[in-house]
Amino acid sequence: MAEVTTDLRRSRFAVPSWGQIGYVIRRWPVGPIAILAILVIVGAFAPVFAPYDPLLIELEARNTPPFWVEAQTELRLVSQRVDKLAAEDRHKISLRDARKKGFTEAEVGQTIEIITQPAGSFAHLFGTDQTGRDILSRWIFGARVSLQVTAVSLTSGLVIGVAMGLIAGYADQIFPRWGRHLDEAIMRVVEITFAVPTILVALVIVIVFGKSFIVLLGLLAFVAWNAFPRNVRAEVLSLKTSDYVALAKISGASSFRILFVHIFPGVINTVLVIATLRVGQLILIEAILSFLGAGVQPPKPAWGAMVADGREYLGDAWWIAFFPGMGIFLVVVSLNFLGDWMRDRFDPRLRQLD
Amino acid sequence: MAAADTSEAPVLKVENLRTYFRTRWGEVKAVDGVNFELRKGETLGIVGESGSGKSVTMLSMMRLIPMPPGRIVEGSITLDGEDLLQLSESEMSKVRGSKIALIIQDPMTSLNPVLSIGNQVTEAIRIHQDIPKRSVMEKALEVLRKVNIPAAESRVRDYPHQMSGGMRQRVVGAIGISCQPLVLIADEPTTSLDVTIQAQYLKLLKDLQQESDLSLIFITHDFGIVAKMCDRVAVMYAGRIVEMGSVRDIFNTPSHPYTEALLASVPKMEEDVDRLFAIDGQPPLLHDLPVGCAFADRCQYVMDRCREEYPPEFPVAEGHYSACWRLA
Repeated sequence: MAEVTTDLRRSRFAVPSWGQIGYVIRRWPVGPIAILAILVIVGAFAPVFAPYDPLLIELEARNTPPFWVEAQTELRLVSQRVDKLAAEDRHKISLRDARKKGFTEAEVGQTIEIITQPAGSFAHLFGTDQTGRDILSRWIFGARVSLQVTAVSLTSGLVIGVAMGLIAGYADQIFPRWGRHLDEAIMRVVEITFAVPTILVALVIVIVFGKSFIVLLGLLAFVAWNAFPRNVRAEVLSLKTSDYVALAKISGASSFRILFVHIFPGVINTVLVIATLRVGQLILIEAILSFLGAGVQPPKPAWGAMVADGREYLGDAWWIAFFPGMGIFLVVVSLNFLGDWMRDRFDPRLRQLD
Repeated sequence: MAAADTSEAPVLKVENLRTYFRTRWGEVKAVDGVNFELRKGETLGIVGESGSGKSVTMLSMMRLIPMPPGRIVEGSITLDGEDLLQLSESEMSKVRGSKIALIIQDPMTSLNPVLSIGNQVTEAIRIHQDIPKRSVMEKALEVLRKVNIPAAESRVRDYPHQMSGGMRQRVVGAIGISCQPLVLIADEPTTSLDVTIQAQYLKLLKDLQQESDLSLIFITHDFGIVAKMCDRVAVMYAGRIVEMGSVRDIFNTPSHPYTEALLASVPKMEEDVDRLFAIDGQPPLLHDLPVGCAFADRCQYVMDRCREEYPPEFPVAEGHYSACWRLA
């Protein structure tokens, strides 16, 4: 009798092979989703995750590097470089001491500064900034700010933009007499907004209306909305001539019913893709505006503003600018990858047998 | 529907319907004076080659002609005592789907891919009838069972891509009959189905018709379907009905040369021919119709008079008439 054994345990709980893992990673945007998920969770529950108050100033611990960096001492010619940070670490030392410490070309009368950089510690995983605020906590709250800003501005921009697109695409059905002109008008307005140099105009508006969170949200909503009308309109134009819309008309559906029940669901996938790609741009623009001082106002932590703060200390304390910069980079790249993936996935022309 | 209504008054009466389209070449007379009547429970076939105005006639009856280029110049369409052309747009949308319904050609594209079958079948019911939400689903099941969808309970929740072509066409049919209309127009409902499914579908339409005393209009260019399904036939050419009569009359004694030619070009099982008969020439340009008979240039019996004057309708037999000078 032939013996057939099935190792149930093995087949059920088989550890996936590297090939399988690679397949999943290539097929699904695992990386971007993981990064964005972490960001959203951490940002949403920022007070839970942040180890310190992001505004807490701890002068004794300022300029602490990230945890893996070791302590170092460095000698520098003051005449070549004055370090604002380490004013009280500056000592006058004898020429001999200076030569002993490796500053062989020192001459009498020169001021040499000794910069002692403390070691990183686990107390501040990402280090601290020039006033001793915990960068990790600021980073987490910065993520929260980015989330708030994009959520509000994207939602309002999306609602306005999609409504504009729907109206433009379907106006001739609702208002047979002048609907086409409405369509033309909306599309020309959208094209005009494409020609507006966003950052420049944003700066002017901030100067005119003053710096405030509301102004920032309004600006970003304005940036967000104009991506939608064109694509939504194009989609509506093709859907409204489809047979199933004709069938709905035959069944006696009103124009509004057709627009919302029959056409709108077909537009959602396009809207999702554009929204995903737009979030990246919004975060970037928010960061740019904050960097330029026109965005989120200090002491509220925003990634752009943190990069701007850290820029002055890049030579000595790279970590101040590095972590928020990395945050912006990762989020924008993740959103772009995710958006591209969604576009491919949702595009019916590319949809084949899986 | 009141099946007791056996009066001879037609359910639908189309008189002198003219639908023109404005194009850059001039006014296209897509439908140019069409008259016909439809009685309760009757099936009328409308045949003719592409561009003869069949579909435009039907769209005019639904008042779904795209209005900037097209317009209904004159005529009347009386359905159930109401002239549809006099109704406002909102009154008309109450008629569409409830009193007059249309089954369109392509079942593969006429269902919305993002809505479930049940949702789409009950569209007209939800628009026209004020019934509680709970019973809408029961209504959907009832309608789907009527068109012989197997396992309707699970199929209502399906989406169009989960169904075969024949099943989708039956769903489209179910949408058409969902509100028990007086008149159901089927615009080439079987062209995209294979022959066995066609036969099933036609039988289904016949059954539905007998069940609810529905009046059917069949637009087709398949004479096989006409012979099988229709009581009367209207032959259209260049926007007009050139011959109309019972199926028997049209097949046995076609009296318009165009009808004759059409029938001659249908392949026959019992005859062995090398080449199928084809009508010489092209149909006339609809924006530049001749003064006389539109078929004159292709007609083998053409006379001088044909080119000078459009022929009126000449009676051939009871209920059978033809617009041809030969009958004068």
